[in-house]
Amino acid sequence: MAEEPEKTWQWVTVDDYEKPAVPTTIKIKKWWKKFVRWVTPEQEHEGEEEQSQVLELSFDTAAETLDDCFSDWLNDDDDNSLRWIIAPPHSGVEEAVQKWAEKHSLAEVSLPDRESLCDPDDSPMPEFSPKSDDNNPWIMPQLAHSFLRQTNGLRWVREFFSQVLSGEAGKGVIVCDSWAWAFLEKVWPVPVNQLWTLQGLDQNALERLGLARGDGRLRALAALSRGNAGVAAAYSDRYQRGSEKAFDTPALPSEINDATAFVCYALLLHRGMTKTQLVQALPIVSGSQLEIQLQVLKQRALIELEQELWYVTARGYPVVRDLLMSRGFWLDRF
Amino acid sequence: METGSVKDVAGLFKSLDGFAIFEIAVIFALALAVVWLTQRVLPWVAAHLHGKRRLYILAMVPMIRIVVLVIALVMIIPRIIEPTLQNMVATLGAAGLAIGFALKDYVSSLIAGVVAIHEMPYRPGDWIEVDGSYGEVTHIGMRTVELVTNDDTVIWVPHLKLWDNLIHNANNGGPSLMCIAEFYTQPEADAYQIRDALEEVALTSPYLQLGKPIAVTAAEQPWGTKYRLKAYPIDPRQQFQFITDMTARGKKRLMELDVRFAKIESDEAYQLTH
Repeated sequence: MAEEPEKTWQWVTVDDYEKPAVPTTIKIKKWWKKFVRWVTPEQEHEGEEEQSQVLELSFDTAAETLDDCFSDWLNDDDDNSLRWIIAPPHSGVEEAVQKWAEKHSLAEVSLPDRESLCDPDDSPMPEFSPKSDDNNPWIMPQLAHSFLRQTNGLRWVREFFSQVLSGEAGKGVIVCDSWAWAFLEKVWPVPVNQLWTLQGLDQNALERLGLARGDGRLRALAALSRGNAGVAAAYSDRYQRGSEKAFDTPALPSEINDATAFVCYALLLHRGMTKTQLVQALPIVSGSQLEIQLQVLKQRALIELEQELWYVTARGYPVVRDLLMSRGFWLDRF
Repeated sequence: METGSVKDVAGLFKSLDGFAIFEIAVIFALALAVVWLTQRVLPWVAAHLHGKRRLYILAMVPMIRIVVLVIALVMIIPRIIEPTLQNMVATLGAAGLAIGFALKDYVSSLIAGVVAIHEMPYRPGDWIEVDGSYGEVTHIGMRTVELVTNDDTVIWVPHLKLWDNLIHNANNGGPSLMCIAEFYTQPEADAYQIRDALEEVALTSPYLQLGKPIAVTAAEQPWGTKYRLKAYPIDPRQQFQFITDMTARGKKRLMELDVRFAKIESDEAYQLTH
């Protein structure tokens, strides 16, 4: 009997998620690079403002394979449970689930306007009404966009948890960024079942996607991207252009303070923010300081502005994650 | 008799030739070089780190120094004294007598310094209060511990204080340090509404260490109700900024909720404080 070919895109529960192993040589290289940057911090920023074109990956197959996990649940009218899909930024999970939801005509929950979340308490809160008349399942496209880490900015997401976990809202799929999820687990500390994600891409999966060639490069790419498809694609592009410094990550600014880390963390936590939202979420950082941080991080290609929202770039994500880890921030589990 | 005693004392020591003196000088110089290097390199490395790793690196500085000095001493003594039991007892007895009379406090501080390294009531990176002075331990010397206060004032506290003073250590070698922001409201205010609002204030602070609990306590005072919002910052060095952030946003939030703050007239305040 022929063996079933390994699948590139595999949906697994969050507990079964595995990060690609990081070989010792890569760890040592990473430490050495860090050391060199400490000693000669001003020597390595040439050409970082140049934004390389990120290789576009198709997530159609990932969307199709989601049926293998969810079709029974979707077709069972008596099963009113929820499915949570958690994934790190740039992993492509959001796009894959979106395609799958369109195919099955899932009703989309409309997200509240973030700025209005911080209105005074007596102002009406945007309603959460996912249940369509014919009792169809619904989808929350991105839970990270439904709150603002500010004194009054968690009202809507609390109401959301209250309704969906009590069963009032019926059957639905909730997509949430891994950083937002790590925070929301503290806001609403009720353990939930059926947490799903895309399995991390190991070197075989990266090879099948054509993101790198050669055992060493594949291993290095898997380790650098932590199995994240979008990050791997962002680094693969340079490799295919034949650059010798294929896996060189953007350098951090020479002057890093709390404000730098707060801006990076806030952008990951909220999966992108406007400048106004950043001002609301970080009142301790002055307006001018915030502007400076955004410009410095943009110069280093660690963040980018896209449709008025600031995001951490795919190439900058491993660097920003390392920065937040070294400063003791609460990390996602991917 | 007299000649015999002088001969006995002289017999304690070896005759030091040029090579022996050179050896002792080299050992001494090497020990000082290692100590000097660790006292500069490790704090420099620690300055680039955060959390537990920073504290571990800083704690290694006094440890390495004491180990190096003990090794140097063990290598030097046999080059000066014939290491028999009789000789050691005689030498230590004479040294003890001199120390007891002339250098009691100095040596007591040195010994307390060794005890401090062993018992670790404070380590570099800890936030401690001794005799009303609160600051971060930046260096543990042989005789003193160096604190830097929030106002950037350096205080040298002799290790001697360890014997008979209370030492308050706010983070005890770890990155967790509880911060408290205090709020004073009029007694009619809804305590549970205030508790919920203040908990939200801490939860949404960018300085908050999310893995640690948040708590709010309330207590009645003659002028109203005192609330204490307790939470942990990510890094102990952020404590003052964290308290500032919680206080500023907490006040704003309570004002949004129409909570009235407790105020007392200056003469009443005088009576309460005297």
